[in-house]
Amino acid sequence: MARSVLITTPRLTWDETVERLGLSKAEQKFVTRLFEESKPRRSASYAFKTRPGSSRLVKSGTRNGSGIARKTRNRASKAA
Amino acid sequence: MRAKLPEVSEKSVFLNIPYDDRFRRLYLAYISGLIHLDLDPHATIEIPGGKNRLDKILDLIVSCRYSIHDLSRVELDRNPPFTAPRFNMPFELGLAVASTKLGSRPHDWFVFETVHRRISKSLSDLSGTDPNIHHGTVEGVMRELCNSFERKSPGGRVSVAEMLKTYRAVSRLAPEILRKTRARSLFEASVFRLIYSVAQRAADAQKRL
Repeated sequence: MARSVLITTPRLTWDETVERLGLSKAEQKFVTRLFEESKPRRSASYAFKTRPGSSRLVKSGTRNGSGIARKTRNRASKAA
Repeated sequence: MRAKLPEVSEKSVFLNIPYDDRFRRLYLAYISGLIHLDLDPHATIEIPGGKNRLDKILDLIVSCRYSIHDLSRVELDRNPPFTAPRFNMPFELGLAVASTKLGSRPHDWFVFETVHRRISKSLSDLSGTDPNIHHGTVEGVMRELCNSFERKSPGGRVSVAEMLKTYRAVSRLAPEILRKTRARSLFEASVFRLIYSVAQRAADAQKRL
């Protein structure tokens, strides 16, 4: 049994892969389409929404601030 | 009598693994990992049925420069009609060892297992050889493939993290491949071909980054 071997052979190109597997045109097209469709799309991590009683658009999660800023403000308003 | 030996491909790897649904994650891991290492996996599912299957299996082993034998499922198969141990994997390992010892061509073989020291009980003839233990995990398979096949990439050694990205892409697209081929399992020739080509594309995309 071998322990470890060093690979130095060149990579298979896509054309060699197609030949090695005997992929039909339809199969090649399917794989290409699969990759086009599975590409990650840019998506925003926030959504826009309107404030209650206003038509102004704001980013969600920013109306009252977020995280520590909101907690600090809430604590301050309660103390007052 | 076999007339002529098939040509050897220097990057081809004969994959001797169990074909059962519990093994599907590791099956995808082996294919993705080997392709990420720019190797060329072959399996007996590529061989069409019919006569002389044994000759075709032997030809496939002899035509491959390397072989991987996963003995992690050498256990009793309780599916009806018989309860019997699964001999295919150790049998094909025996063929590979014999072709190494008796043949004139170079062939390196590796044994992969899930559990430490189990092989000394299940196949004591291999005492003195250290199998690659993957613990039945995808990461384990990638790690042991990296330990077995060292390939220098332009940025250094190929990493397990990069190989896992290729695996995840293949794993995510596998259901789509099953739908397209209308296959009942991943262990069919048409599915193998598409999984292979998807892994190739995914590995290429990784390496371009």
